[in-house]
Amino acid sequence: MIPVDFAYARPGSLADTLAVLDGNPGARLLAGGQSLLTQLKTRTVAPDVVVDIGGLDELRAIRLEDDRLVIGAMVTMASLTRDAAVARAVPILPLVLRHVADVQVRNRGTLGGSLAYADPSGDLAGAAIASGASVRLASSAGEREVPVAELYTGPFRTVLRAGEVLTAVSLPRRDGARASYGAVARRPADPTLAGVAVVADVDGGTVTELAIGLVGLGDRPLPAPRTAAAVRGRPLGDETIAAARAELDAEIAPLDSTAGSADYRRAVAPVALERALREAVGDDAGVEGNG
Amino acid sequence: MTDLGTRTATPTVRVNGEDVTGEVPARMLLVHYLRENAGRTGVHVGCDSGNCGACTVLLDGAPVKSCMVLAAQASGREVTTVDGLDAPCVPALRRAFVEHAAIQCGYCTPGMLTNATALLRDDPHPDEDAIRAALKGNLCMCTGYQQIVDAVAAAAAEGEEASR
Repeated sequence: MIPVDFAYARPGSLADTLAVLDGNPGARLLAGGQSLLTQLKTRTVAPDVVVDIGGLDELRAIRLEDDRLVIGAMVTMASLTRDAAVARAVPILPLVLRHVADVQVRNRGTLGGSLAYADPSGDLAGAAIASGASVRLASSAGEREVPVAELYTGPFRTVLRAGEVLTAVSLPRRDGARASYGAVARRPADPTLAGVAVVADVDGGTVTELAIGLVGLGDRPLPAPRTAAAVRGRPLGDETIAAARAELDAEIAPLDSTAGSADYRRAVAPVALERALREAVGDDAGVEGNG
Repeated sequence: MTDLGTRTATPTVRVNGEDVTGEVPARMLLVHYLRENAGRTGVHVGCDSGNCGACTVLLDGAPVKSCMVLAAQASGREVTTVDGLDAPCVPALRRAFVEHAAIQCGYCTPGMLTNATALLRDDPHPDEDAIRAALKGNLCMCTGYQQIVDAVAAAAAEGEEASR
């Protein structure tokens, strides 16, 4: 398929990028291109100008800032998979990345592009929400930071304004935390129909801290605060699991799509949750974090 | 004056060691650039939508789907197509694909060989799970995959033998 016709700009700096965006309110940013090129081919979007930010090396850094890991928006999924500092500080990321597409797509696809795409089935958004991540948005008017849990307004929609660029993802360090991802898909390379990303602290079989990100279970990636509250502070027995499954059912609002029906998503969501929780806690508190 | 974008691009892409340059529409995909401008028709156009992996090439050494990259994005970078693969494992991979009947219609073969070459370069002794995970983005409608997995495993084993 030939993409829709567009004018192509490849600025060399963030400042130049913001200037191009200010002059072209309908412009679209090209990061790794693994979603945008499909949209340009199918004419789902037809911008006058495509702004390639592949030349912005300033968006490729991974660095520690006090108790946070800050990952540049243009860091590819493949580099995240290989980075030992990422695996240590944000253990959920490498676990979830295994579910994202394939080697070739992960070599091009970026963390920032994936989060900004706002796919309700976006695995990385679920991981970001479970991690308590926020995104940094730059524009010619300045910078603001938005929690990923508040980034989305609907399917493929975010709070990003015209002229804003998602420059980095800031994640609290969770060294030593337990992490797991329960995900159901028709086939491994297909979109996630129900994904539950879990980041937890566990002490003697009891989940002392827990955050959950949901994928494919609403019109956007969602947090699950009430489900997490049903588990926090309790030993992970059948009773706690049953309570969590019930809370989850009340917190999700899955949609029908060609990939899977809302009913099916609702039916498998608690299975994904239970798998994630049991895997995160492990056999007992003595075992080391999985993944 | 800020560059507000142009409808054409003039990428220079190093393809199998030779610079290929020329003015093309900005929307031209790398796969078409490689076939039409560089004459590298070993790169196949399969689904043209980022799913099948037939168009896989190495971009600065990393396997990517060339239908999901603009030619302009590859400017100043190095592309290796199936006919430019020169890693030590390549002769063994080619032989193993033939011996294990990992080729039937041949459409997926350039992508399979290219991706398998990157796999064996980075992980010379992959187990079956690692082979299947690495080739997840390459679809084959003929073989049922087992022959391809067997061929990659055989090439890896041959490499192991040779390095002893």
